[in-house]
Amino acid sequence: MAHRILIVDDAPIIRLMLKDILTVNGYSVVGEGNDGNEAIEKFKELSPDLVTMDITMPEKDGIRALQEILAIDQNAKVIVITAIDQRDSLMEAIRAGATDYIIKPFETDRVLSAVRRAFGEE
Amino acid sequence: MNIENRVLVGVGDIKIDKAPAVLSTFLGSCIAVCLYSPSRKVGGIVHFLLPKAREMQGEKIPRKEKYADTGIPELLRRLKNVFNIEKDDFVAKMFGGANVLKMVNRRVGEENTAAARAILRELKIAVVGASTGGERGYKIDFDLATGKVFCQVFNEEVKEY
Amino acid sequence: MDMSADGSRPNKAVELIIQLSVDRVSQLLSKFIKVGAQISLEKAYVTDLSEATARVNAEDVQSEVIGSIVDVTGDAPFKFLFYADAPACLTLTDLVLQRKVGTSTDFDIYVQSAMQEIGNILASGVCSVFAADFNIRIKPTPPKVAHDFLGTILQEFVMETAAESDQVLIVESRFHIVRYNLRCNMFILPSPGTEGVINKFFLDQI
Repeated sequence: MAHRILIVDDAPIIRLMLKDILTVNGYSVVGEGNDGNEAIEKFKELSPDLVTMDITMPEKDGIRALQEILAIDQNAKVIVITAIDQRDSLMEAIRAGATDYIIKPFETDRVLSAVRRAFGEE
Repeated sequence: MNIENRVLVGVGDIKIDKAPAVLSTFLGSCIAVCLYSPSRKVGGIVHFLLPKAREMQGEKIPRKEKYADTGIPELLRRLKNVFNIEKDDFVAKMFGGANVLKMVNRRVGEENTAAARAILRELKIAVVGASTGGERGYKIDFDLATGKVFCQVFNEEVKEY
Repeated sequence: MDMSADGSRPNKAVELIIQLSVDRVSQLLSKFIKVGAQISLEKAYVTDLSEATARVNAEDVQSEVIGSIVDVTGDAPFKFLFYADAPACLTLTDLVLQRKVGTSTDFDIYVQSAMQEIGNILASGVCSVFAADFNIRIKPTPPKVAHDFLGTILQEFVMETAAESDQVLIVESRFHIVRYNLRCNMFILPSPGTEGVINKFFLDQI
């Protein structure tokens, strides 16, 4: 069965781009979230195998949502996908427990390699 | 209305003129108060940003034009001084105050609209036309030959006030 | 870079950071839309915002644009605006989604979202320049997008800064996507005091 992925980003266009990349390559996108609160709600509801998480979002940002998801399930796989290309930000995400960190704008190969690595497929 | 006579009013500014000038400006959450003397065919616009001037000590205070409480009286003062109008025969129209960025915490447009109405009431100037609020911007052309204001809300038809 | 447009020049540190930022923005825009975006105008000047907004509106009175406004917060706060006229936004959306140009015909959520995300990526790029080259910690807040008159978008962009100060530094850049003859525009508006902060961090580095 295909791995089930939840995409969280406040930009519908990024959700669409990620969904295209993932579904074409055999993954199942089971849900989408627009902010940190929706990320947590949908994580509880859908129990996805992996979450892609933007950092800069309204209401609750991606780092806080990541921490709350890990508090629910310490083995949760969360790939942070953000436009913030800064060492401090990267370190904050890794310390918070991110599985990987992808900088926007991203290439298809970079997204696939991060997802495959998260599932031990590479 | 002759567009060649158009004078653009920037953000936080006052422009006064006489017929046949057309004063134009664009608005979001800011308000344009248009004062007009029908007998003299002169008028002006204050395009203000916020309801109240902040009290700043030891800092350079931004211009009066930027706030409703200082800008509207300043517009009236200039019109009276420059055109030597003793009598208060001005009427007011006001436009803008939209929530273009759909802010939820602070609705500056609504605060600006309320402030302009309160100040015009204090100055005993009648508001004879207004279009305020909503979530789209405004473009206005104030024709000093007639006192009419042609107001277009973004993506809508031009209306006359 | 033209630093003498209609007012006094910013200081050396600010000139340098602006130049690095505009270069970075041009690279990121090219990468996101997968087509080269050339810098066709780059100037920084101290101006009166009332005059500046009247001038930009006079140049392009009827323009309908989609703009993405980002508040950047932290040590050296500023406001960032990216906008393009409405037809150009449709093409930019097709380029972002790697679709045939002409596919987008309506101003749907994806067009608004493309502009939102371009604003986010470019403003984040400027933050990275501040962090990497000057050790200044700043970060973007989520962009606010509006489809409206250019004059209305500019008013929303400058209003907080104009309420604080009369004479301000502004950075104005234009990008030309030659292959599709598209033009898009960027403004950076540092908060009052930001210039001084940049200068201090710059001196700390050397």
